[in-house]
Amino acid sequence: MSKKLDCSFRDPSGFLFRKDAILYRQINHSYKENYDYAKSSGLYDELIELGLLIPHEEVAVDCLDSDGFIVIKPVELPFISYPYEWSFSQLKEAALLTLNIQQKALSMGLSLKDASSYNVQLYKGKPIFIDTLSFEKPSPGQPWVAYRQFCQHFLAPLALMAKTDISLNQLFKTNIDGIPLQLASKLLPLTTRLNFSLAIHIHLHARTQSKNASKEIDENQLKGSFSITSFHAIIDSLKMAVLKLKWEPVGTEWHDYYDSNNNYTEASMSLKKDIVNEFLDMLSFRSAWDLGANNGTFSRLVAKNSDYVCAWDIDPACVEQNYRTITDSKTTNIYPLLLDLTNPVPAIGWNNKERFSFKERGPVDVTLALGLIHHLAISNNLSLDMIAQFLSEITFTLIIEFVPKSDSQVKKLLRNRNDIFNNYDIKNFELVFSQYFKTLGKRPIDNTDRTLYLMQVS
Amino acid sequence: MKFVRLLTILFVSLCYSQSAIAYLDPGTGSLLLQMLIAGIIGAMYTIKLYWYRLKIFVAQIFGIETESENTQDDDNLPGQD
Repeated sequence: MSKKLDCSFRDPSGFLFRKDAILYRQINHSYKENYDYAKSSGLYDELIELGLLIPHEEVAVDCLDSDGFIVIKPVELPFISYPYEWSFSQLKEAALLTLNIQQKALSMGLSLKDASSYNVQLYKGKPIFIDTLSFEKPSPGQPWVAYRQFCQHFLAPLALMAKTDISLNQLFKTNIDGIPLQLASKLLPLTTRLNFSLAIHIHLHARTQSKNASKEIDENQLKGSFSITSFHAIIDSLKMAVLKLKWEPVGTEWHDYYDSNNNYTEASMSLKKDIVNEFLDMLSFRSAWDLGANNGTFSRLVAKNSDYVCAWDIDPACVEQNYRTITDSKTTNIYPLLLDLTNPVPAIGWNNKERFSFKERGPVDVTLALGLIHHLAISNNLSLDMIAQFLSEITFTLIIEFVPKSDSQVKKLLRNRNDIFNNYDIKNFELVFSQYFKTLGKRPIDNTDRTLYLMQVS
Repeated sequence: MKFVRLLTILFVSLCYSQSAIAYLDPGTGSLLLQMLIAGIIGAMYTIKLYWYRLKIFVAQIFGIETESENTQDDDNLPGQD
């Protein structure tokens, strides 16, 4: 049984499909010339060898329709994430990867025909380009067709994150093809008009777009004079613009939680790690999510025995710190990602099927919910039943920490509001969760009021 | 000003060709902008390229190892591809 993937429809060069649960890509006759050239020029081999492009092999699988001329089998990624879930550095590295690939393609007589941030994924701890069909022979004298898309998908969001507010990559959720440049130009501070790169590629670009939106270009008249040096110069200028954008992960609510503002002594933190390790040793698993992962301290414990771990957190500074840590330590199986669990990422795009929702990418084998339940129950007024049901839908096993009202962090949450949470206690927690889970382990954390549980969906 | 703009559009219309399989709308304004900035950005790029080559040349004369040799950043330097 073969099924075309819903996310793969924009480019007529081919599409992704699954057959017997294996991922394939059909390449159409219309792309044959470019595919053959990318192959014979050595571009594919070089990019794959450098770890910049996802490897693939040609396979003897039938095309799904008469448009196809060959089927390839790309290496399948363990997990797909989206730019609205990425840290600043991950998006920046994805931008630089795209430009590096474009430079290499240009040197071999090819060019990227698109520059979508969705063409980049994290794989083995590094961004990798996943669209094998993005290369084409550019017509002589033609400017870069993907210039606007690059600015919308990379430069504008990075500039907004660095210069206006780090949370503005969330605009990707409402703009599937990147952040419109007119919007970016309005939101960026006035000082960015004095920055040559941003003045040209964002502000002037936005103005040129709006002034010429209804103008028509006669596409049949060929013979341009946009030289290859101009092409290289545009790419180099974009690269310099991206390299200059910086953001440091400080000043947010959670960025220094473990260092300065937590409920643990060194000994109880060490005990908590021991208990989590003990629970993990009782399990066999391949996929894991750490909800409210902060800087990924506990994600690293899970990662030792898992194919991959998503370290989800609401705080962009924590996700950034975690991303830098995994990059520095060359960790290959942790994905630091942004998530507001009270408003999880929805499915977006055409027919709500182009980009998966948070839940659609589960369930996973193990989920950690440490130091989390009080934020959901008290800060977000969720009943214990709603929390238990949700967790039972995204995971098969759960390591959860119950944080009672006597805990200093809960006292903080209740400091300026009425305590309307009569059912929020350990007895009710156990009763409610027992309707969805079977408890396999229960361990109090000494010198704290907290308790850790290992649970399995019943 | 209108005359300059008309000239620019005419220039681009003579230069621009749609790739046989291009599926992305490149945007009229985006194409125009690239044509408009090609001169200045191209000149800056050329100066940078020669400056880099001069640095390499001088470094070789004095036997100094050049910065970022064999690093990923080396790819970022102009004229390396």
